[in-house]
Amino acid sequence: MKILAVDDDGFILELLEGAMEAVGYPNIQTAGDAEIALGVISAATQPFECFLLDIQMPVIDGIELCSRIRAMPQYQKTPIIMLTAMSERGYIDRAFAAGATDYVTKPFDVLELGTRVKMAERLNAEIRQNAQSYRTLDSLTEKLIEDRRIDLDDLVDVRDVDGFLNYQAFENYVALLGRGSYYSSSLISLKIENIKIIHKYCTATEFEYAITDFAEAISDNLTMHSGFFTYAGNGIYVCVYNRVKDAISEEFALQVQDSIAQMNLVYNGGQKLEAIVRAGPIVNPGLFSKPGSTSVIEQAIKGLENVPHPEGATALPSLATDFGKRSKRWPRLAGIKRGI
Amino acid sequence: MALQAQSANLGPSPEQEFQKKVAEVGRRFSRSLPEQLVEMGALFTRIQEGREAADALAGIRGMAHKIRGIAPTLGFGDLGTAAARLEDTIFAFSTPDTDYGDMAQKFVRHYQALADEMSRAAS
Repeated sequence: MKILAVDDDGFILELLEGAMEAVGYPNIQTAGDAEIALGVISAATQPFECFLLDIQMPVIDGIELCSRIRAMPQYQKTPIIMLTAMSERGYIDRAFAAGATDYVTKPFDVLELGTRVKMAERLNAEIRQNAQSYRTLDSLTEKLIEDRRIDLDDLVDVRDVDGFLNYQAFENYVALLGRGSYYSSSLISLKIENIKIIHKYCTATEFEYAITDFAEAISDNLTMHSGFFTYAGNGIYVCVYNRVKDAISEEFALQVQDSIAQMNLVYNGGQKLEAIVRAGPIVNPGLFSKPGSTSVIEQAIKGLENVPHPEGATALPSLATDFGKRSKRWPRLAGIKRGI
Repeated sequence: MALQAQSANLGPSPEQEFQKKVAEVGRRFSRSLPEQLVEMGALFTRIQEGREAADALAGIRGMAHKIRGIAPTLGFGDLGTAAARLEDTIFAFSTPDTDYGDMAQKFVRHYQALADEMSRAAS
């Protein structure tokens, strides 16, 4: 795996090189600041597969560098592990918001760092596999695109939605809170109650857009709570927020549901797509687990089981026979070749 | 005998190589501390004299931050702790409702503690 480590401390760079070699990753390049790093990245003939970025660097800090790397099309999903001596929550939040995948606090433990990089390597393997699938898809017809299958429990990828983290990054974020402000955080799960119906009557692409639209609705209602959230499959979203700064309203699920309703989503053929949203109980990590544990995520999801199902969750769309045609909403579809 | 020969051929493990590297970097880090101490002292004097004090404070914070990040990995745990205390104290200057009189006293105390640890680690 090809790694780029960026830190303004030469001693740290030397240690990182040694540490990565010790855990089996000898292909590591280093840069002493963000500008040098950007030059190294643009000159690379083979793309980097993992970045290790110090946060506090002069001129361009690691968080800004992370954003710039993420803005490059070939690095939208490449693992970025932030390194810093600061475990203050604001830094962690900004790093994840900028697109970081993981976060390691200095002084780093070599074994821990090795484990994190190994996780990054696994993530890379998935990215390569998906990239291969997308390349294949590009060369196929619309029919094949429509035949692509997304299972109900798949972790659908959501992009460009404020506060959204992919599931792995979300787990890392929650685990890292254990070292900082774990006890001031709360988690809450939201379930799109009629997700099975939506999944059944959407194509794979449309289902992805629906999941993204629902994420946008959550983001709109969550940003005021300075939180992050993820999609856990099966129509379930999990949010984490700082309960000291903000409180989630008892009406959170209804607010999200209203936001979705205001989007006027429609299925193919124009039938209205309605989402029924149910919230689980608020989970306060301190009550259930030790800092560093991600079991609170499972706790938040499991909590949904004990909440009554709202009415209408199994209602079918009004004109179910006309599904399978073009949607008026979901403007992102315009970018996909659909003409036969 | 055969085992010894085999082990001799294998050479040091990656972990052993890394530990050698840590020791070597640690020696160089230790040798760099007197120079850092002089630089930090000059910044401290600027703060005392009110010459571009904010920049000088940021400079000390940056130095403490770097020491905090690397010293414990190199086996200088107390030095890392002293650097962390100083950095956190300077960081607190920027937070609202700070009692500056109290913070200034803390700053001087933690600055002195870090300088002492740097001298100790350099010797």
